[in-house]
Amino acid sequence: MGHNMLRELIEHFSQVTELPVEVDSIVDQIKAQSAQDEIFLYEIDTDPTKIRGIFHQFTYHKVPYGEPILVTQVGYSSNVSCEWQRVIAVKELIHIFDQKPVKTNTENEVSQLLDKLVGPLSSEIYGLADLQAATDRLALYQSLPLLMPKAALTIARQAVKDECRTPDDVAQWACMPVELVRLMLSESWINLNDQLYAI
Amino acid sequence: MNECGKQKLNSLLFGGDNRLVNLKLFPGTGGELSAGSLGEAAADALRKAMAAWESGTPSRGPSTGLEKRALLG
Repeated sequence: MGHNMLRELIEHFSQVTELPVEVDSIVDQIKAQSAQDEIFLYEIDTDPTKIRGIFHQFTYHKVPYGEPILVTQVGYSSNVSCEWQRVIAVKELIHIFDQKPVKTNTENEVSQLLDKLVGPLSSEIYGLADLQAATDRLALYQSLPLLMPKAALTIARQAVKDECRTPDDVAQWACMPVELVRLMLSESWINLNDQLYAI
Repeated sequence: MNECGKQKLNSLLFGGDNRLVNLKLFPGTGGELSAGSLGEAAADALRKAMAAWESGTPSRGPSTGLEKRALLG
């Protein structure tokens, strides 16, 4: 698990030029390339002003003293657009590739994650909680090349440059929020796109 | 309120037989969100995810229902 697996996943989709990429096809690929026992995605009724998605990974025993089974649950809000649901679901799936130190799995870490996610980015309190929250935020950007693969983005960038398509057309094509598509079409994204898995 | 929301989430995560491996959240768009209300909302979302899982609800990612197509042509 980790950066190499995420790179492999992003590269698997990188030559796709027909969109949209469906979230379930990303799940299928994650299952094909990693040792995940069970992955479940659920649409959940949440207040999107409070929470839009959740990633919950745990182990349980089907039989006493049996091998623990790893379960990944991804919940995405039913009260946001389909475009945002897709970003939320894929962002949460990216956490399957979290390295051990940034996994949030103690009571204290959960408590600190909540504080960090609602707190200011600039904080004088340094530590693991900061990294865990940063990983949570970074995953949003790491999810984007899966929904708009590199080859598709190259075509979109040229089409917008030639003024035969608008960013709105591209967003509709990819079924993504236009504000994130505008970011991907920007000059600043070009170098970042290939390096996101290495951060 | 702050501690209450956190406690609700932690008791759900650590109160049973399952062992937590990793938890991450996608906070909401409300500007004045506190850690407690995020914890409360996360606990509610977690309860719903667990209920779906325990009842055998099949996994379903958000689907566009759209046909795949090229941008041009």
